[in-house]
Amino acid sequence: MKIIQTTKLTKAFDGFIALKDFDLTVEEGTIYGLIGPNGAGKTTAIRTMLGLLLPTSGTATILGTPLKNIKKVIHHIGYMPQDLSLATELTIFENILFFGRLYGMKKRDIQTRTEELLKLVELEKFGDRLIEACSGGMRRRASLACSLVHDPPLLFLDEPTVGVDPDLRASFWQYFRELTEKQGKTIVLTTHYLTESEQCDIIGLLKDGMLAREGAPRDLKMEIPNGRALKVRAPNMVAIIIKEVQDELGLYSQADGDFAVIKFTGDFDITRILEIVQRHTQTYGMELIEPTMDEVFSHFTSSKGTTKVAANQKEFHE
Amino acid sequence: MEFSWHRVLAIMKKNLTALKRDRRTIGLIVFLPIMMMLVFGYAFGTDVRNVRVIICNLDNKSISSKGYTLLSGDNRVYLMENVTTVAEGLDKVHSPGLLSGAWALIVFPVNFTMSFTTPPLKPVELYVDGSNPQIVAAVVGAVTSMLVNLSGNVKPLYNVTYKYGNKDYRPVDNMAPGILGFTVMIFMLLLSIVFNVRERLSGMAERMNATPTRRMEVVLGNLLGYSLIAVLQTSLLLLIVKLLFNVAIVGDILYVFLMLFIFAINVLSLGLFLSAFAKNEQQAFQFIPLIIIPSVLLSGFVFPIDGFPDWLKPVSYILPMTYIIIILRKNMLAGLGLESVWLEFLVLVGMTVLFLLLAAVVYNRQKR
Repeated sequence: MKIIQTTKLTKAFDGFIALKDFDLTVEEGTIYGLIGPNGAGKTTAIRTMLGLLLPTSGTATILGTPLKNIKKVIHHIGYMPQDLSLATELTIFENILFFGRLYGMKKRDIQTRTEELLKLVELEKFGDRLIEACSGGMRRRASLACSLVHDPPLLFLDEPTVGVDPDLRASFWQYFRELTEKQGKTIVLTTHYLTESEQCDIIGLLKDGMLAREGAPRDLKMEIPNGRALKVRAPNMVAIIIKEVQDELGLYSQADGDFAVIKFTGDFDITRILEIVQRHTQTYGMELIEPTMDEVFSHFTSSKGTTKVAANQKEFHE
Repeated sequence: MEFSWHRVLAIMKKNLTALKRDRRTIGLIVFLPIMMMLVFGYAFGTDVRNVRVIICNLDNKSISSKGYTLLSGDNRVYLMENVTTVAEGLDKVHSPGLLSGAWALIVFPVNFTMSFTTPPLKPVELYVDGSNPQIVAAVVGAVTSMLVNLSGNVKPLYNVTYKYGNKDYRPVDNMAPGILGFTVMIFMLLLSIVFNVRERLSGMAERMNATPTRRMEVVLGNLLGYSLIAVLQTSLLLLIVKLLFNVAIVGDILYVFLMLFIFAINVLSLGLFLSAFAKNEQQAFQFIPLIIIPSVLLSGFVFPIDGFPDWLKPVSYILPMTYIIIILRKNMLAGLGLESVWLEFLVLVGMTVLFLLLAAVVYNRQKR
């Protein structure tokens, strides 16, 4: 079931196009990651889909409701903005209570829910702490808890893991997976941590306000020409292996000391490479190298299709 | 590192460049002083003028007619109406509001003209609303000049009767309603504008917009919260005014409290509306002098509106402060309630509803 569908959604600010012809389909029970550097249009896309920004053109349907009527289904949506967006003079618990009340929840239900949420975001000991006394990471966690208080079927999370330490990030992702796989919820999130974007079911690569490409991370990796590589350790045999692999399989390879690095595309049958290796040695080591998400992003967003990371995109690499 | 003029100049240039791009601040820097100078000039530069008075000429002979002509040529008073009986005139003596009202009734007694030739001289009767000593002085001044002119060196003879107030009213009694209104205004404006802008800048307002919360709910929620502070502040103010300065409150202190509370809601709504137009806290602060200065100078708080030139008067009547001052003065100094200020009250409430609706319309509106 399609939870979100946008058609040529465009948002311009004073002539600057922040989002252009944005076509997005998000299926129920998936994590959809919008990936891109700062200014790519990730936040604009989320705010437009939430009805916080009026689209310049295009249409969208959210939870089966046209975007212009989004208030009718907004109680089924959780939103964690990129900014702090919490009342700093209130405690973590009071903030969660406040948002629960805005969603029409009863105080007793919120209290029960708060206990679960504080445990999830590892803040169970800090419920009474004022937001202004919390660290950046704690604030992000409290903000996530506020967006989950009403247990919504659809979640928009704008950079949910920024400023959160790696261990907790891992547990966030585990929870996101649990929400989608076990509870059938749908999550649309943005991140500029490319490595963690691999945990999304589908990623959309945004550049200059346009969706350059979307797909499952693994599928996108498969599509990169010569993106995958088999690194074979075969001392003294590297040159001959490289030559035969090139002659017989037409694969591009290169030597790296005692290693032959043989590049191939997608689901190429690597047993064919191993047959050649085994002709020359039975004692070899090997490692399958997958393209990084950096390379995936660069490939699909650079105009030349090169796998080299562009200098201006480095800032959003982890 | 040593002191460097390069750095000083760099900082100066940075500030001027930022200012150059902030048109609103430039507008404020240019517009406000012009407005202030104009108002101060008109208000301070002249004495009280055009005080509305009613004439009752029971004599209708040559000297009283001459007196009438003299008064109509005196710019301190404005002869708004002639009545035939004292009772009819007295009805209309209460500090003027929107609809009617005169500050004083001047009565030429029967046989006034004859008493110039057959003494004893009959005194002119003056019935005044004495809530503003400045105004009383202007009316008395105009009558004295007229009598001196009519009778030559004879000591001018007149009786003053205070319909409201008395000659013991101090300037502070007349100023107190304005001071109350002003204090409520400045703090409620600060509260609503600054807090609201802060809420928007923190992203909290937008986040609330992504919940089922309606804009009117946010506006009313904010308003009710702040109005509790207004209740507290108003109570404190009244206590100080009464206990510390023993200001005259002829009317009902509860009525004064209620009216001030309504005024606080009015100002809070105005603040909520205006805050939508401020991009940051600095711009939010700029609204405060923009509202406060005209409210102090043009509302009748310091200078009587009657003294302003006609082109400036409409500005007075779009200020909520003008209405609260009329309402409070009539009650605190003359003991008059809603029956005498129902129109002013309706205007104040109407403005409040208007500001509230406007605030809800513009509050964190969907960005285009």
